[in-house]
Formats: sequence, C-alpha cells, structure tokens
Amino acid sequence: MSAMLAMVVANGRGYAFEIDLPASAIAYSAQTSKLYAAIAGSAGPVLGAHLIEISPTDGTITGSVPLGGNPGPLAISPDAPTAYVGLAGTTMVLPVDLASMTAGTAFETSGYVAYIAVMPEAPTTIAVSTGAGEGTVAVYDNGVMRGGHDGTVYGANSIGFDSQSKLLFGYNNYDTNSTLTKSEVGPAGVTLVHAVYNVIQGFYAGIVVDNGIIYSSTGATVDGAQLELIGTYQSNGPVVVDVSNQSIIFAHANALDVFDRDTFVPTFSLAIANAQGKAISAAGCGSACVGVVYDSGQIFVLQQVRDRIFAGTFE
Amino acid sequence: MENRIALVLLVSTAAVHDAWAAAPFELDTPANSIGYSAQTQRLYATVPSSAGLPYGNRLIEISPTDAEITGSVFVGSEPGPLAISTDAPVAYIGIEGAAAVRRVDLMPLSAGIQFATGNSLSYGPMYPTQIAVMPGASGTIAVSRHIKGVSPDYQGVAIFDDGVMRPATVSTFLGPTTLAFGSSPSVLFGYDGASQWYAYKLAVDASGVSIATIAPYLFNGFDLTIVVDNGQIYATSGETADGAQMQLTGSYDSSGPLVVDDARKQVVFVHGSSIQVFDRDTFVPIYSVKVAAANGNPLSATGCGSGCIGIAFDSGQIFVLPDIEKIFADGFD
Repeated sequence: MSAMLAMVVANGRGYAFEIDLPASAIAYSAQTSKLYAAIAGSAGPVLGAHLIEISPTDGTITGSVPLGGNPGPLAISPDAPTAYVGLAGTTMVLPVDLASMTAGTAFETSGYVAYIAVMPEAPTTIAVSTGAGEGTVAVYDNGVMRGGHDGTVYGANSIGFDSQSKLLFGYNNYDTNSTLTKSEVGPAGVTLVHAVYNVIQGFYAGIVVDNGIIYSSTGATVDGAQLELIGTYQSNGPVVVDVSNQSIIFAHANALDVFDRDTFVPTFSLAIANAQGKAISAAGCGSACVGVVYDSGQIFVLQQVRDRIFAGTFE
Repeated sequence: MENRIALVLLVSTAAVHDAWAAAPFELDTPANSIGYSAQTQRLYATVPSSAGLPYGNRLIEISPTDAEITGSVFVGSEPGPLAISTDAPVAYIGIEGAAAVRRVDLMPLSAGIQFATGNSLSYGPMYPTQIAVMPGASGTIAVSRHIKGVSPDYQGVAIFDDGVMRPATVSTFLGPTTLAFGSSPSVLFGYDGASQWYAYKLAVDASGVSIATIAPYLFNGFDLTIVVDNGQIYATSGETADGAQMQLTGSYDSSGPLVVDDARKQVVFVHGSSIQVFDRDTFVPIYSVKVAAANGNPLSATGCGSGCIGIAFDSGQIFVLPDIEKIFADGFD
C-alpha cells in the first residue's frame, strides 16, 4: 500500500492534509518540529511497520525507519529527539533516534507494552505500563528496569509524566474502579504517592499531563496536586493541550472540538472532511497544529486550528 | 451563541388589551437554574458551557424589569443548581463539571470560594444535586449529593459552613434529593424524587444533619422539587403539605416549577409553556396564560418581586415576566 497524500479542506478555510496509512499512534517532537506516526505492518512493504516522519506544514512524509515489527504505543521525549515505540504483541520497546532516523536496540520489558511515557529532562528514561489488564508500571534507564519488582506500581495503564513536578500519573482504564494514581520516580523505581477512584471514569480512556493538570480523553480534568476534579470539557476523544492558544482540543469523531482551556467553554468545532472511523491518537504539532490518527487507516494533519473562521458555531 | 432579547406576546384566554403594559421578555440563553436576590433585586441564572462565549460557565445577572444582562461572572465547569440566600447577597452554585460548589458574592458580582462536596472512597467525587442556603446564616448551606456511574446515584446530605463540612451527614442508601429550608435554620425539608417518593424533615444542628421525620408518599412523583414558604411545603407535583405535621393539606391542579407569591396570596406554576395561577389558600385556579414563544419544558422558575417571574426552559430560553397580573385575563386553560 502506498501512502496517499491529499490536501482536504476542513470546514471552510482550514488546512488539513490527509495521509492514507494505518497507524497505531502519532506524536510530535519539539526538537525536530516533525510529527511521527507508527505505521502498522498492514500498510505493506514500503512503509508498513515503520515509524514515519511527517512535516506538519504540508503533510509530506519526510523520512521513515523500519521498526522490525508491528508497532503499538509511541512516546517522544520533550527534551531530545528520541522516540520509543512499543512493539505490538511483544514485550519489547524500540528506541529511535529522530535526528538520524535510526533505530536503536530493542529491549525487553516485564510484559506486553501498553503505554510509554518519557521522563522529562531524562530522554533515556521511560516509564512503561505493561499487561493487557490493569497494568504494571515500571521505569527503565537505557533499557534496564529500576528496582526490580519492588520498583513497580500496579494498577495503571495510561500514563503520563508532569514536566514540572516529574511526577508520574497513571489511570486504570481497564476496570470499574477507574483508579487514578500519582507516583514518584526515584532511584529505587516507582513509588505510589496517592490514588483516587472514579475521579475520571471510562474504559480505554487516556490521559495527558500538562503543567500539573491531568486531561483525560473523557473530558474530565483533574488537579494533579490534589487529584481532585477541576472541570469537565463537554467532549471526548484523544486530547491535545495547545498551550500557546490556551486551548484544549479533542479529536472527537470526525471533528476537532476546541475549548477554552481555563473556562471549559467550547469555542469552535472543526469538521475534518473525509475523516472516517474513530480517532485513536492525537498530538499537538506546534501552535494551532494537530495530528490525528483514525482507525480507518487515515492520518490527518490540521493547521491553523485557532481561528473561529473555521466554524461559526460549536457542533 | 448570540444572546437575543425580545419582547414576546403572551396569549391568554381572554382580552390581551393590557398585555403590553408588562410585556414578557425572552432571553435566548440556555440556563440550568434561575434564582432571585431580594437584596440586589436582580435575577441570576446559571449558564452551561454549551452556550459558548460570552456567557458559558458563568452566572449571569438579569434585570427583572427589562431582562437586560447587567453582569456575569465565571463560576466553573457546568454550573447547575443555584441557591440564593434570603438574607444576604450571596449565591451558591453547584458545579457539575468539578463536583464542587462555588460561592458568589452578588454585590458586587464576584466569584468566591469553590469547595468539593465530598468524596466516596469507592465511588469517587460526590456531585451537588441541590443546594439550600440556611436562613440567617448565609455562609451555611445544605447540599444533597450524587455520584456517577452507579445506580442509585444518591449520596446523602451534608451541611457546609464556608466550605467546611459538618461531620454528621445523612448517608442512608436512599434519601432526599431535593432540599429546602423554611424559616428555621434547624429544620430542613427534603424529598426523594429519584427512587422513593418519601418526604423528609431533617434536623440541623452544630454537628450536622440527621433525619427527624420520614413521610412516605406525602408527595407523588419522580424528579419533583419543593419550595417551603410560611411553614408550607409546595411540591412541583401540585401537592402541598403542612411542614409541622408533614400532612397533606391540598393540591393545586397543575404541576411544574412553582413560585409562591405571598403578597398576592397566589401560587404560580409553570406548566409546559403555560403559567397557571392559583389562589394560595383555596387552591382555586384564577387564570392562566400561555407564553407563546416558549418551547420545550420549564426547568426552573423563581419569583422576582410581587407579580414577577423568571423562567428557564430546556429549549435554551429564559423568560422574564415583570408583572403577570397585568397580562393575565379572566379565563383558565
């Protein structure tokens, strides 16, 4: 399967670029100013089972690197051009140097890789949640697990670091307790600090942590210090925090729902022409830029998700 | 959403010759709840985020004379239930999106403290269902609470002083979802409109709140709310009871959000798009009038001085009727 790149109009005047490739996840590197998508093996021999590099300005594929297997979760360091890809159906994580687009040496984790989070200011250190169920979280330095079994925390699968506090937050999206955890990462591994139940609710929900606030794909938003609900955006789906525009953006069905970050008020909704299926991953790619992966085998890059000229009303 | 104020016509069963003397006003802003402060002589409404800018997630202040929005303040994510002190220019708003209550000073209009209304170790945050401000103590409120994802969702009643919960709560499996104080700060009335049709009289003291009396099926219906006035409990089912004895005293042949107008000795129901007015003491209907422009169902109503009513509809409309008497005719629908 070859990638088809097309520019599509997003609800009037926006820029939306479509890439017809199936992907498991998308993420952005502030160091390279590029988006990266983990392409499924079903895409075929050219780009299947590759990490591809995408220009956020025009949606072109500017590079790729083979992963050696079908990809799952993807995480990129906020501080260095380093990505980590979980290999689906295995216990392996593959580091990728984004500056040279070369794969490193895959290393083994304690279970099937569910989510990966790269520690702020420590690009060779990652937290990995493993297991198909409630998940166990461990930390790896250059592929070596800290603290052995005693250095792990049980009961979270979606995870995210707070870049300010370096605390690790986790959400158990597998059972009805819907546990939200806050953990410290130290020399001995991961230590649970606080856990609450049902503050966020929803199976398969994910979290994004920014500036001490936990944003969930359910719309529920939690203060990381107290683990208390502080508000709810009336949307759901993969979430992007656009700090420069003080916006929270949800990839919800075939639209981007945009909210004022601080008042939780919807500001506009941007329909994505051609989008089909369900959004499974999204990433900010600079101010007012969003990349979205759909389970229909589509990747969209949307620019200028800022102005209300996109839509007169919230849909 | 753009807000539109319009004069609208009321259609009565008889002459409408003096309708324009006190025309109703329509405000095209969605609101979850509406209340009135005797201190500021203004109406207040909680506006959900779906209203968008500029009023989403704000408490808006409305002039009862012309429905002008005279102020607004951000209060939090998804403001819902609203309660206003009878003694001071202070409002409390349930913040559904944050499982909290926000206090707002109404004069001048400014947001005060926000506090969580409880947490269940098993079920998570407790969300405010309804709020009642204690008479004579504007820093003290009663809150009925619910949780999400579990049925029944009722999670008891608690008293908060400046955001601090008193230790004794009503924590029965089922209990009052709607609350109202009468004139006494030590007596709180409630009704379970979610599961059982039980009315409650609750005792409030320094330790908190407890159940004093349960009156099964005093009122009948789901999702009812109650208003307490001069010792009488008025339910949105049309039934009314003596609060001292917890005994039914009569029924008005209507239902819906209600307002007790003591100056005119009337009880006014907003039933669909009709306003139905009854003699308070004889339960006899006096007249009714249809708000022609109203769509959907009324969510909340409040008096705003004698003869004045504010109504929020689930269609995203607020109506202010400054003087219903002048626009009512003789008949009754």
